[in-house]
Amino acid sequence: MYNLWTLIKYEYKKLFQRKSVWIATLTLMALAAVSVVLPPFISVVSSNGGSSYTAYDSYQVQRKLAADLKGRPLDDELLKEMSDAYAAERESTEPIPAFPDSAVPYSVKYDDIYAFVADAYESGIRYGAYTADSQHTSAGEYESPYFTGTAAQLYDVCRADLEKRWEQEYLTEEEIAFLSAKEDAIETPFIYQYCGSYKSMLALFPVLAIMISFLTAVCIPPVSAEEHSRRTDQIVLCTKFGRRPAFLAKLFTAVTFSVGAVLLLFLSTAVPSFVIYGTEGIHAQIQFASFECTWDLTVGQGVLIILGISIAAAVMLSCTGLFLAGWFRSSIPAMGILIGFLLISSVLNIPGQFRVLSQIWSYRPTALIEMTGSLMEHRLVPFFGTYLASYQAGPVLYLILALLFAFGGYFVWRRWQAGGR
Amino acid sequence: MELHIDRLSKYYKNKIAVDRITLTLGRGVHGLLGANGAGKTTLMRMICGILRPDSGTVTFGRTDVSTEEYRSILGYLPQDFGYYPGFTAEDFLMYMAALKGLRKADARCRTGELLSLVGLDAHKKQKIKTYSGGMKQRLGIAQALLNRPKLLVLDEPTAGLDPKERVRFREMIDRLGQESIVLLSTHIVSDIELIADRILMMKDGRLIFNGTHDDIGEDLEEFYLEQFDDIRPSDHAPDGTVTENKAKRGGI
Repeated sequence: MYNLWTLIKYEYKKLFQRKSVWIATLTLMALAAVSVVLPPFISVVSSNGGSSYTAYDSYQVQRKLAADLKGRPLDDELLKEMSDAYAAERESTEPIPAFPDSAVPYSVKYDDIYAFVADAYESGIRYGAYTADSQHTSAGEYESPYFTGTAAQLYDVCRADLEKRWEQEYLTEEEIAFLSAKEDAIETPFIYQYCGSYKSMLALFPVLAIMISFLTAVCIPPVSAEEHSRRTDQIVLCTKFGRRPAFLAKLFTAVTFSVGAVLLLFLSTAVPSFVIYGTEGIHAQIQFASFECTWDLTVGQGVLIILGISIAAAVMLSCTGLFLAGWFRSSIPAMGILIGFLLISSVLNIPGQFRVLSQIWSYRPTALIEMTGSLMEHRLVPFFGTYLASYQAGPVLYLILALLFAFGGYFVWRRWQAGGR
Repeated sequence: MELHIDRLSKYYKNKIAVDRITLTLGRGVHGLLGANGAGKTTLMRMICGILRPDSGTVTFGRTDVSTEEYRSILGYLPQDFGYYPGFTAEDFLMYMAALKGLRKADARCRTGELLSLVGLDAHKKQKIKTYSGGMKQRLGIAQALLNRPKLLVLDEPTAGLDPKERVRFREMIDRLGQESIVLLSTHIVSDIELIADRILMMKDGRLIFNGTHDDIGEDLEEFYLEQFDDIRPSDHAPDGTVTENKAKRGGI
């Protein structure tokens, strides 16, 4: 119908004939991969025995050792094991026993537990949910491995910390009640499972958000503006399928290219993450990535949710790019606006006191395409007697905006006039 | 098969580009003459539906210019238009054929025919960015003919063609005029002298002459220059036509 697939084929041909598309896509993919691969190899740790090892070595040993902990609850017993292992390492004056053929100490087995406890304590102290005492070092760091409390106390600190945050985020009582119910539904003790690759992917989404916005700004506006800049608009628009079908082909090309670019960028981080950290742990509780997540999700679900948000954002940004390019009949102002918005949205924050404005601003792609903005954002959206979380409302908002911009783009394309040349 | 143009007008700020033109075109070649800025291109753009008139209508039979049906019988070669430099001639014609609603098999067949017709068959796999101006112009003519248009609008089609190509082009247009309505604009009189069944002349947005060679009865170029020397805005009747004494022979 409308020769749509043929038109799409030629739109893709036009798109891929631009060098900027190849350069931008391949450079960003390489950067995404490098941002995963490089850090584990450049960070070097020295053991007290004098030998040194890279973070990569540490991750490999941790993966092997942590397999023993799979399925174990984060309870008093595990906490004690972790504290003992770290204490032994710290207090030992002799070289620490290391994993065979490496300098990596055995205590890396408990690194995830350490990180969880440290995160809860640091946050608890920051938000006033916990008062530091002897664990507080002179350097201002919190010596959480020396935590001698019970697991129940640890979970209480987590909960108290969350409740403090809810207060500071100006949540209504109804929202707090809703979140409390969600929090209650999460079973404790948490069940541990190593999930290094998923944590790495979750940590890299903010980088991906910037890349997606940049790539869309560079590649999409010319899809529509090219017809005006090359002066092919006259012959295209007076053909039988030059109005709606031609625009639909452009829209489809822009949207599918953006979605494809998101998937490629994601794969550029996912594949090296799997290689370095392993594929295991998809069903691990998301609280091991951040205890401030109030949703009963696994890390795998968390990754898929943010990937879904990224796709929705790419669809919205591509429709916006198409609309702006059509409106200005040039790709330069459209690129300028999209990149300008990316820069502003990366640096501008609206204080939480201005609840509505601040919450609306929190739906910008650079904020929502990351764990903090989507899965750790507690401000909710009322929806027919219940509430939607950011990660649920955000994609819907993006798709509504995408529809509006798509219709706007079609309107501008259809009404184009050849006058003035 | 007739194209009806009824009181068509277009204004640009304080300038009248096309002033209440009423015209009916039947099968045959219609040569539109006029100096630069006379309003030829504006009139053609409105006929092709890519420029909205301030008033008036354009219809082919009962089909309005704004419809898909109208665009399906239209072939248009603009005066100033571009290409996709990375496309080959074949790609470009296949893409245009898809836009014109041709099925893939028909498009491939028609593309081959037209590339031969305009003498680009040997260069069909070359990228358009390597083409000369004349080759690009011939490719433009080929795209206009893809859908076997019943209404063919050619705006300065001979620009960039060498004398040999020009002769070949005239013969081609002559043949097309037997089946279609061909409206061909130029400011080069010799381009239409031999092939136009009807001559239209525009000046300052107005149609100052609409007649046949017989109505002219003398050398077209001389007649053309005569018209442009004599006609002044004060000679226009209120309905936009030119008064009888000034239009001389034939005319509106």
